[in-house]
Amino acid sequence: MAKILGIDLGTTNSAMAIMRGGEPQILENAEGARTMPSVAAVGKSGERLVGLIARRQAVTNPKNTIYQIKRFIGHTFDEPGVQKDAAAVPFETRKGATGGIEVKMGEQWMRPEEVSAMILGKLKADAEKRLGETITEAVITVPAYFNDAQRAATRDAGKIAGLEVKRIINEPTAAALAYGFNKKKDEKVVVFDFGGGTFDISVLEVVMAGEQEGSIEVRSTDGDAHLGGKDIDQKIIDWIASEFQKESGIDVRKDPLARQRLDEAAEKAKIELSTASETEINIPFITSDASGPRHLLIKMSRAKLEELAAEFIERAIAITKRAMEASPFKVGDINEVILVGGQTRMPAMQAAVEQFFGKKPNMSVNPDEVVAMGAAIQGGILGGEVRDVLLLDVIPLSLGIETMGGVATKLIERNTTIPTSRSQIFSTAADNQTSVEIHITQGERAMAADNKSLGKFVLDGIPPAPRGLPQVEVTFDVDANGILTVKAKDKATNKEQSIRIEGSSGLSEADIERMRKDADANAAADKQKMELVEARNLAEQAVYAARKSLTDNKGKIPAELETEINTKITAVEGKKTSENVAEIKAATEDLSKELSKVYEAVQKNQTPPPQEPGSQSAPSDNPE
Amino acid sequence: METSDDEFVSEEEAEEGPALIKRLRERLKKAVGEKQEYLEGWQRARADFANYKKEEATMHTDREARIKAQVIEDLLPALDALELSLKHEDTPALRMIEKQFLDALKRMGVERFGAVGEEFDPAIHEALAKNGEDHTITEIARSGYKIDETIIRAAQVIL
Repeated sequence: MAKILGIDLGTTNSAMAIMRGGEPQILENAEGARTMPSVAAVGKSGERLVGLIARRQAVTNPKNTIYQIKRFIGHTFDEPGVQKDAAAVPFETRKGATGGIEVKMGEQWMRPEEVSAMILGKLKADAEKRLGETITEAVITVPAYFNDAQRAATRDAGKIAGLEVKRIINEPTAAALAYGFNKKKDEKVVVFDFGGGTFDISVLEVVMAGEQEGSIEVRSTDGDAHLGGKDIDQKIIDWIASEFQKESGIDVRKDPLARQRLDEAAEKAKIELSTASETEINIPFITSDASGPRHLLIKMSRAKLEELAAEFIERAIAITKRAMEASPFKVGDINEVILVGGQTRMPAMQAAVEQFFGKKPNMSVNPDEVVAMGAAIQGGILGGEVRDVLLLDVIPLSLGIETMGGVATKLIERNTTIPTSRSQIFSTAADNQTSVEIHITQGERAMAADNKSLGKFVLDGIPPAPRGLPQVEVTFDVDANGILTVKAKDKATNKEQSIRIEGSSGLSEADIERMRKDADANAAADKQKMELVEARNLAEQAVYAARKSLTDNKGKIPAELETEINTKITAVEGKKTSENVAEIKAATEDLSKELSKVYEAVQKNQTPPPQEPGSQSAPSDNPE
Repeated sequence: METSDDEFVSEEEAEEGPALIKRLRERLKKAVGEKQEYLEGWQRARADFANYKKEEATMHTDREARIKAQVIEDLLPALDALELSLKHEDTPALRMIEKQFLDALKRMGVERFGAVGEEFDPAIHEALAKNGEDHTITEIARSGYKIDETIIRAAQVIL
């Protein structure tokens, strides 16, 4: 089944997303950007340009570059709002045969849905390129206040672009879907959408129909089609320019080059002041006069920005109040407030929303992408993908076995999606060890004793061999119901033993939480303990290797070296029980250095160096 | 997956002949339907995973290029200022600094572009103003930079 593309067709920018593995994911366009300017143009030689490329050539071709077409779609030419908007754009508009609006692009008069279709067509083509499959279906979002004509026109735009529009959904509804509010009972949600050029506020209610997922209904909506982040940018630009003028007497706004640099600097400052309390606007060579080049260097504080933005925030809050009054709810009834639009990253705006509603607004989903993601989720629901055929669970705590020194070696990390299976090769800790005990533990602590013990079993009948040589394969398998089966197999004899543990997920949420907190609290102490055990294990291995080497090479090495090694072995053995990691490590290193001389000596005697046992069983933590 | 008892066909003594066949047919129909549903879900999950792996592989190379482009983009304002200061005062020292800068970028595969006299191309140029009727660039306000064929920043130009 083909995928359904979710499209946020915005006034200033558009974005698209798709369901992948049950999650909505933003698709980047051909230019590698996550959002695309909603701009279309016909170039000098008649070529159609859409997005960033269309915007770049706008000043060379203002009459044929169409932007903010969303303000015109589905409207009639004679509406006062349309007249006002049409007067503000550089491209030509006229009344169409049916009373609708038409815009001129190149030699052609086009309906707004045809222009929107160009934008949708580019999104479709870019999505296809990225996914490597044909896209024929889409869910497109529109503002909650769009009437039937505007919705129908948007649907037509999709059709012209070669997309079957499976559904037109409200932008606030999409945002609520992205936050998963369709799954919560009796939620009353406010979507506060402060975009680049428009402000929308919507009051939603999740209505549950039986056992089904809830439908999201718009209870009231309000907004200002000419209020947005751009207004705040303009204020900042004016402030910087006037500060500069005070000092230099030059108004840089009149110079298009300086103006461009000012625009960019203002936006950068605004973004920086969302996280910093002060920023520096630094534009060298912004202009020049008789005295030579002039530079602009101005400090801007967050307080200044908030002062400049205050009037716009106040307007948005006043509209919000109006929307609340028009809804059947009181401010106190609202369960969640979602923020949409990049401008809501401004701390002052979040604070104003929090003050009005008396609760922290939610912006855990990227406010620039949340609408497109919600559209993709709607597409997933329509395409049957979101309906959970398979409810995939995860294991809440890590599962592992106890290895040498009492260490808990994890085989399956917590949060691993099940069903899953993992195996690892272990070996023996002592020479001629014929059985290994498999002790299964659950939890995040480093030492087995600190974790929950789930069960034990013994694999015996391992043929006698030097330590580290036998290969015991331990396999953990967790099925879809969380039932754990642990199997241990001796690779040499194929002898195996297994255990089935049903209660591995029978922990309460509180238990799991406590165990995780425990692990966090003891992380540092556990790490120290681990280091000590590791150092002791290494020391033991070094002693073993040294003794073996002395036996294997008897008579081939100088007597004084043998004495020296024996002294070092005694030293390591003496330190092995010490609590001081550094001491153990130093003694082990001394011994290893001495030991390397044995190989040198043996090499000199032309004998090939002996291979260390078990060196090929790579991940060999040795079970006790 | 849990299996409930009613999914097994128990032998009910009273039932025989057509009734039993009918019941079995229904069970079979249900089972085939479910099989199809699970098969599709499983295929979809497998396909998603295969695609994810492929994408992750390309993303890895992409990511490296992106991080590089991001670092370079952040450095460009300083280079722009240097370029502007050269326009005002062309000293050998400044030229040498600029050359060092550009040489270092070149080693990373980064190239400066945009020149007076070129034909305007919105794929690589961003127009700030248009004075004549011609589509030829008359002034470079800010140079563009690309890494291989990827545009890090379009050149800002005046026609």
